[in-house]
Amino acid sequence: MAEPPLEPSGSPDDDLVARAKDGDPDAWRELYREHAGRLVAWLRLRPTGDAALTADDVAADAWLVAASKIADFDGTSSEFAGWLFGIARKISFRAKERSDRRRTAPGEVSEVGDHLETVADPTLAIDTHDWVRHTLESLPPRERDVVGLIDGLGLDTQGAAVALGMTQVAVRVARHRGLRRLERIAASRADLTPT
Amino acid sequence: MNPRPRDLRLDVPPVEPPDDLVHRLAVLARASTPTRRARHRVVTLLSTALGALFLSVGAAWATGAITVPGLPAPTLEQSPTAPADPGTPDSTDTTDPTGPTDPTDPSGPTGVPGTGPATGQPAPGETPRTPRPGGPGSGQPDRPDQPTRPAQPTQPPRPDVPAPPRPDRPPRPDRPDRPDRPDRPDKPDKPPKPPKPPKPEPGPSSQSGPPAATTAPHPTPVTGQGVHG
Repeated sequence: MAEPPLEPSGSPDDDLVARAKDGDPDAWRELYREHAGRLVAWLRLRPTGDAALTADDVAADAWLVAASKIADFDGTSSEFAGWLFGIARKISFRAKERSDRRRTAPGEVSEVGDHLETVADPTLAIDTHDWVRHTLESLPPRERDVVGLIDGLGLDTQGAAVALGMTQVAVRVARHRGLRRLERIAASRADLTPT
Repeated sequence: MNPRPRDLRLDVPPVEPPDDLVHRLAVLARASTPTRRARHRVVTLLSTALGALFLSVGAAWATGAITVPGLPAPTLEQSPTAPADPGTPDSTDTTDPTGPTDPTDPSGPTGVPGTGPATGQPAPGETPRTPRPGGPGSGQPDRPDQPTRPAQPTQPPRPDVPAPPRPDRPPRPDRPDRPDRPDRPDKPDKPPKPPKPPKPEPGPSSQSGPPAATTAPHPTPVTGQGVHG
């Protein structure tokens, strides 16, 4: 699906967002198809600190909050991605704070949810790129988020800035540093590999 | 493997949402209304802009840069420092550098004639000052035979204007000027110690007996109080 051209924040709504504001289910279905997979994949890179709270839970909360506050959003469907990711980031941050405050040790999820129906994980396809996740985990959190959003999930700079609560300049700088750090890490690993 | 940006791209397949979730999202979107925060943001921006405008205009009016119709012109206060009168002497006048002195006291601020401080002596290479009546050291005669102290090399040359005396400070009587006092001779040689008498009792040598230096007569300095004058 071709992404619409980048427009500045506060731009008028495009047709998809306008229909979503009116409560059109088809518009929401289209938005969900476009952004839900990337959102879950990104949230998996961000630990919540709570074993009972998965990335799917945070993503579902983010969608509900986005639908309840869609009247405050102005922009295109591309900018909707950054706004949605920002909501998910705040929910994840609050969950991590709550987990750190409670300091509870929940039981294993498999023991708790054995009786629940198992659904197919749509993000299993990206597990083939598991080395990407391991590589990104070696980065500092700020650079990991930026590189993961832009280079991993295809968000533009503006969307990543909105999602992370940063300026676009800071996003560019963090991405540049993250890519350089990845190159150094890859070079050091190549040197350690026996030939 | 060297990760390049295109290698990091994850091809996430589109996720088909469940129908109940879609309908729930649609219902929530219909019920969504702009929060007060958005309206409050507009009000805050407008009030801030108006406040800044009023402040800038008020400051410009107060400084006289602009005139606001309906408001009187700001009255600029006169500066508290009045212009100097050319007829009155200012503080740079050096007619009487000694400051306020009692006109009935002919001896000047020091009070005791002839016992003024030696600071009135000119340093070598410095022009001697003309003694004035009532000035410091006015009753002190010229003493060319008195050795003068050399000027300190690090001290800058003093100006011709002497420092004003302090009338409330009495002169220091502890160090009178004694011109006729001879130079202090060097320490007299200690008299030779008398030979110790033989001790009648053998024993460990003790340090009894006062040292010779303590018993030696010390020349008393001659004071010049009675000679002077």
